[in-house]
Amino acid sequence: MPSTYLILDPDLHEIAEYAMKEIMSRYNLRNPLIEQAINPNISWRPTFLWKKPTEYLACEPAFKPLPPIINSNFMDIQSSGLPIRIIVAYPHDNSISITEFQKDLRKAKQHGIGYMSVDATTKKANIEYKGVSSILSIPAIDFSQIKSGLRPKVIDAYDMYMSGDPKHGVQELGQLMEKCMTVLATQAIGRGKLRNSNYVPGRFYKLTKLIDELLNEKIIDLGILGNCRGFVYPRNSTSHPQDIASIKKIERKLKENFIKGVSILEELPAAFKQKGYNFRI
Amino acid sequence: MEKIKSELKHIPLSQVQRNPENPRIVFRQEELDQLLTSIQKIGLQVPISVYRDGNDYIIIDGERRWKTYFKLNYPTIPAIIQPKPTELENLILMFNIHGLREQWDVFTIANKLTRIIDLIKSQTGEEPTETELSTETGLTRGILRRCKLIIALPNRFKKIILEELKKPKKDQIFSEDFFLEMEGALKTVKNNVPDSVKNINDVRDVLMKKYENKVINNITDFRKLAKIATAWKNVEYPLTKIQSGLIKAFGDNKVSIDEVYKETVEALLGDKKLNSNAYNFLQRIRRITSEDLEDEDLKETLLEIKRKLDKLFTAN
Repeated sequence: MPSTYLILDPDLHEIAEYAMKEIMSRYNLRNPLIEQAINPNISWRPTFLWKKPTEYLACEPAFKPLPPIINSNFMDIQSSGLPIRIIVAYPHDNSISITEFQKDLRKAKQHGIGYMSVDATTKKANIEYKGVSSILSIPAIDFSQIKSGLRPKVIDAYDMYMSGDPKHGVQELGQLMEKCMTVLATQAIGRGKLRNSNYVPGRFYKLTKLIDELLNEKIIDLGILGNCRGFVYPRNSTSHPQDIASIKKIERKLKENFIKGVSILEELPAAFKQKGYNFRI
Repeated sequence: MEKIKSELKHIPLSQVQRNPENPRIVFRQEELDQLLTSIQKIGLQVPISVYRDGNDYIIIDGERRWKTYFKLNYPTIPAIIQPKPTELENLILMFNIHGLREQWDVFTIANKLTRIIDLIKSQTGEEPTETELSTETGLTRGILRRCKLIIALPNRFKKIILEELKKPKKDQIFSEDFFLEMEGALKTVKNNVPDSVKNINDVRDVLMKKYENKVINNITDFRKLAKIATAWKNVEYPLTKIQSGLIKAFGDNKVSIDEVYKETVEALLGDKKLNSNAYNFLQRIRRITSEDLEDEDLKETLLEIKRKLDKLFTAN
């Protein structure tokens, strides 16, 4: 039976139905709340709201990928501190200009807002971008300060993070950092340092242990190495959260870690150079 | 209508209900988006108007504002609370509020006007005159006439208008103005040359097709149809020729209204216009005094006219 809406534009009812069914089947969810508030402090009543144990999933049928209600209230949603993932459902055949359409998609992605196109003729809904929880969203990162050789990999990690796979995004940064540390350790050994270490280039070695050894011998700036240690330590410590409170903590940590990881990768080349090491990753 | 007492209050959104009698049935998304941005930026400038019905408040005016407030999850909305009106008062109140503040689409007004006429009729036993209706609703007689043209349209054409109204103005093809121009012209044609219109709906379909295919380029071309239809009395153009011209314009072909107009009455109407202008000019010249001729510009213009006329008459 079609849902009953109080304020949704009648021209969007069909789009809404297909979008709702697609989300319910994709994420194995039951019927959503319709036009209900998420929280009194958020100036937006999504058309559909699923209160999952670990996340709020909201879907907004609209004529464009980034409707004004979301665009103007995103900061409000983000500052609520709740893990809210948004997916906008827009008509496959829409009348907005290509420039405006692309601008909307770009901005939605930048905010981590998911979007899906719905073709009412073929009755198909396609989630094109899953989006991320508002806690995790990192709307803007200046990649220009990152060394050019490293930049595409960091951008890939960011895309992964913002495309609904934040854990892997952080892990990608972790792998880049691991590579930096092993390159540094190899060069240090070549200079007769790290004599007490069992590290052998090309063989597996626990990263936290290697960073501790680099720290002990003050191979490069201690502050940066300390930050690397801080980044690597909680990376593998995520468990399976059971409630909103735990997921909030975990997601905040993930976001902090991603930002920290990018910042470390930005500073590492200068730290290498300061002590005469080559930054070749 | 009696003077009503009202009060301004912030009322909970959860107690506000839309008014089933609201004539406004089309809310363009673009306008709702603009309102949303405006409310978020500068707040609500005009409270909504409601009346109390049990524990609820029914909107008399401000459904777009209420929708926006609801979407924005605001807990309360400023509202002017008025006593519960009768059905007729409810409708008339909404007409008056909107007539003063913003221009509704004619379709929106037309849609509820029939109900107002029926209600007045049931109260007084007589159909209201245009003047009475204008006084009650605050609408001009011009708008009322336009409404009547829309009311008289068959439902399938009304549906087309309704669909078009949902689009932004710039994207509308068969807009209200299109139908108003077309219907105004067809009414004149039917009154003056009834034999040229066998089936009015077929004529409407043809004219719409011609407009869509750009055979008719401008909705003001419909005015030429009216000029052709009335030419038998205005410039004594033969009725048979008028009839065949109109049948051609209403035929499923590529003949435009403009072409028929040029082929038939344009020259005669042009002559008539020139004649009328010349006559008016003569009347004015008769009132010119020697004092007026002290104005050098006027004097020079009149001398130029004299020279032109002398040349024209010498040549003939």
